[in-house]
Amino acid sequence: MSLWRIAARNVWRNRGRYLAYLGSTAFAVMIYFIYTAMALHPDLQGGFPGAREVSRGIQAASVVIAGITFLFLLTSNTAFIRSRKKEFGLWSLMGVTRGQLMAVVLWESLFVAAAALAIGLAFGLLFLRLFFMAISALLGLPEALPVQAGPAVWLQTLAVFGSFFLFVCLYSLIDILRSTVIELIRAERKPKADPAFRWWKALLGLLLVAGGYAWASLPRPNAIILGVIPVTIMVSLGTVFLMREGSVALLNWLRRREGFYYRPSPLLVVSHLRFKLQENAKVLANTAVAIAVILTAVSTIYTLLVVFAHEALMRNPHPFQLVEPADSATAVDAVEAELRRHGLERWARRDLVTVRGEVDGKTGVLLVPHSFYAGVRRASDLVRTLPDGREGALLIYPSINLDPGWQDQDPVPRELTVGGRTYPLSVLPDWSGLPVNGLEKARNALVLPDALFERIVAESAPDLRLRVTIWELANWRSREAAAAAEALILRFPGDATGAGRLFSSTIPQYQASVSGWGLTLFVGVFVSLVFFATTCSVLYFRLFTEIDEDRRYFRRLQHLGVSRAELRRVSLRQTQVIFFVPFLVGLMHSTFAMKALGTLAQRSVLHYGWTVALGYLGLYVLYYGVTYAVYWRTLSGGNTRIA
Amino acid sequence: MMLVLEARGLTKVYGGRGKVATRALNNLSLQVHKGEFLGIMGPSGSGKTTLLNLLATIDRPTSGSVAIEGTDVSQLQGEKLALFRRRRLGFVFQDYNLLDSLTIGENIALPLVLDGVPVRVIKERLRLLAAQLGIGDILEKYPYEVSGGQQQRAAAARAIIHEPAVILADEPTGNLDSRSAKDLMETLVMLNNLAGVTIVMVTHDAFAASYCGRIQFIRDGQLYTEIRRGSSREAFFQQILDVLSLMGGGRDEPLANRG
Repeated sequence: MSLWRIAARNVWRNRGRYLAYLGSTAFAVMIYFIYTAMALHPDLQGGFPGAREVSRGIQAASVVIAGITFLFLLTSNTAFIRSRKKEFGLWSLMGVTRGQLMAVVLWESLFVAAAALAIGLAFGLLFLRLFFMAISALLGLPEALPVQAGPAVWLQTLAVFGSFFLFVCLYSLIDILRSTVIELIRAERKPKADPAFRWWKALLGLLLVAGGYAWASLPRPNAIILGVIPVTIMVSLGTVFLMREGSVALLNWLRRREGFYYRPSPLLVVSHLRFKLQENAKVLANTAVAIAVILTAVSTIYTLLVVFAHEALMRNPHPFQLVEPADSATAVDAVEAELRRHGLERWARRDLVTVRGEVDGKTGVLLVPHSFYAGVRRASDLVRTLPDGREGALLIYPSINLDPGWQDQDPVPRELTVGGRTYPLSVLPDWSGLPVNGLEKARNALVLPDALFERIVAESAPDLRLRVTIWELANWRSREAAAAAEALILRFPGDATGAGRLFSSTIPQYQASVSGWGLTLFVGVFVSLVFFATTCSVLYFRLFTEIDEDRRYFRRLQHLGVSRAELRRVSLRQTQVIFFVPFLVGLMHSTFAMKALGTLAQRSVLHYGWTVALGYLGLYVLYYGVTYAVYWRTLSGGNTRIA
Repeated sequence: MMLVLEARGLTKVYGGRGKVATRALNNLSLQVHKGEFLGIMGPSGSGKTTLLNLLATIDRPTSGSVAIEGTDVSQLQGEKLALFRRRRLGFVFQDYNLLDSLTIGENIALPLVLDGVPVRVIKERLRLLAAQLGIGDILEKYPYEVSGGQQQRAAAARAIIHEPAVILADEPTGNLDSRSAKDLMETLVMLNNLAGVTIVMVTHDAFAASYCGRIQFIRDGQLYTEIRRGSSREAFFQQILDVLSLMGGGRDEPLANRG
């Protein structure tokens, strides 16, 4: 029998172990291939505005994928080879030369690498069109990018992953070749020390995590921005300490509670978890941190998408707004004709005749009566009452205020100037979104009591008055509305003095924000899925590297008269702890990160985090289900089934 | 005397369906009375282990039946069989079969824990039994921290703690040095004498077998002969060696003769 046949048989015999390895690597290859195809696409090298940025972003994403995959291959291969040290030792004992051993390991790696690349590239090719269609839709391109994956794409994918496989294989070979035969044979029998609780490590871990959480919960945005990196390090490090010491403490405590412990499932589950704690704790902590990173990253992109879209609406809340001098002929009919031409109907029109002014001689404002402010659609639902009755006013700024306490400010006496006349006001600043689209010379809005507003407009010179017309439309996010807005912007550009007709719309900015962040989310989700798949596969590995030991353990229990149903219950509990504890810890970390993000974004964004976490939990449960099914089959099957 | 274990016409055929069938047991019958210490001996391939597996209910006979305390175990299935095994049988294996993740004490207590016995009762019985077997000071240790002899005595304690109908021992001295083997056999005899425990032991160690009260010899899956112990263990030992040499097992397999 030639060496490559032996290698092929080895791979087949270990297929349960290789499954997750192969699956997640093939998935990474597939995404990498597709992203490279997009990054190198000729149409994205400058075909339309922003194309280069898209291409560069996708390229960066593919680099991240490659990095994650490399780390995964390295850790999993090392663990895998370690679990087979005894086998290699026996071969050496039987007189297999080092050269032959190397050849077998190389052949094995070659088979797996070839399979991963073949499967990954095949699926990549299969899904290429789908990804191109999705990207084109997100970019709002008139037609989908032509599907194209030149030799450069294939070469790059093969070269990157091929070299990864080769490096990882050689790396693990060094480990084998360095060990003496006796070390290889003994590798499996290393006794496992009884886990001891070290209180100072637990305390340190607790301090680090609690400190990180406290920092992330600070109400000041500046502190949050400063804290991103230190808090990440603190919480990650704290998790490693706390998960080990925490599980030692918890399991030891459970063990001391004899009434609980001396029952079938607890005795077997707790003792088994304690026994494997040393190895488990590290993997579980790493998984928890990885899951926290995945959930936080995806939730953050999702939140930014929502926040930036919202910000566009704060500055320009309306899809169609025309501002023209009140003493000239109106172009309202022309705008409505244009809207109809694009098939838009059933709008709600709002008219307002107003004037521009200046607050304290420097802040340009457009005056708006309170009744109009309260009735018109704005970015936020917050409608505030005016302070101090007759002379109270709201000065609305078009931006986000990072100070969470802005609503608690007191009104300040200020002066409004309109065409030479001045009016004393008691002004309350506000950052909850403009009631009208901002103008070049009046980026802010001043909300006045209706009576005062009418007086000021009446007292102003007629040539200063502006007619503002707003069309509100339920389906303003449609393609037709976007086309109408584009046409109207070209038709009424206004002029430098602000005297001519000016049409403004929120649509272009809103859509740029949504498509930009939507694309980031789309690309990022697949990067996170690669990370997710590799993270889960490490857990899968955790179960499968010791499956021989577990099988012996379960055989022994069966001999003693533990039924299959009981064994199933015990193994379910154990695997559930290994899978779901890290998810819960990761979710908790991510929740605090989202809380911090909420401080930055000036609103609660926790529900975005929950939404994302729910999606990943679904995937996670699915992964667990498959893993457990394979694990249980491997464990309970085999040649010595007991009656 | 009360019958604890009765095997009737046990036949076990391995293979079949295209493979070459091997008849490991051929119409073998066996009776064990309460309080007996029965040894089963025979050369390699004689069917000893098959017989023990059938008695232990972890394998099923091709034909024939096994009754333990009047219950026909060949009729039991799945959960019921596991429960029966757990409650009415005790096992001592050649490789001890202790769970690495449990302390010696927990290993011994396992059958009681599985049966939902209250902690107080478990602790009390564990203390008494461990003192009796001289392993009271290693209860908190893990199997890999104690010697083979201690592990096997712990396994014996585990086999007896739930007061089973019969203890089945499969080459219990196989992995032990002569000193530990002697200790273990004396322990088993003590349990047999003091507590009246019924023991069935498979061995090909003549020295270990000399502690039994009765020995059945098996060859080619059938009963070959049976001898009973008189007053002297030394004489019994010699008797065993005589039967073994008569059987001719010694040619294929060097019978362990430690003593």
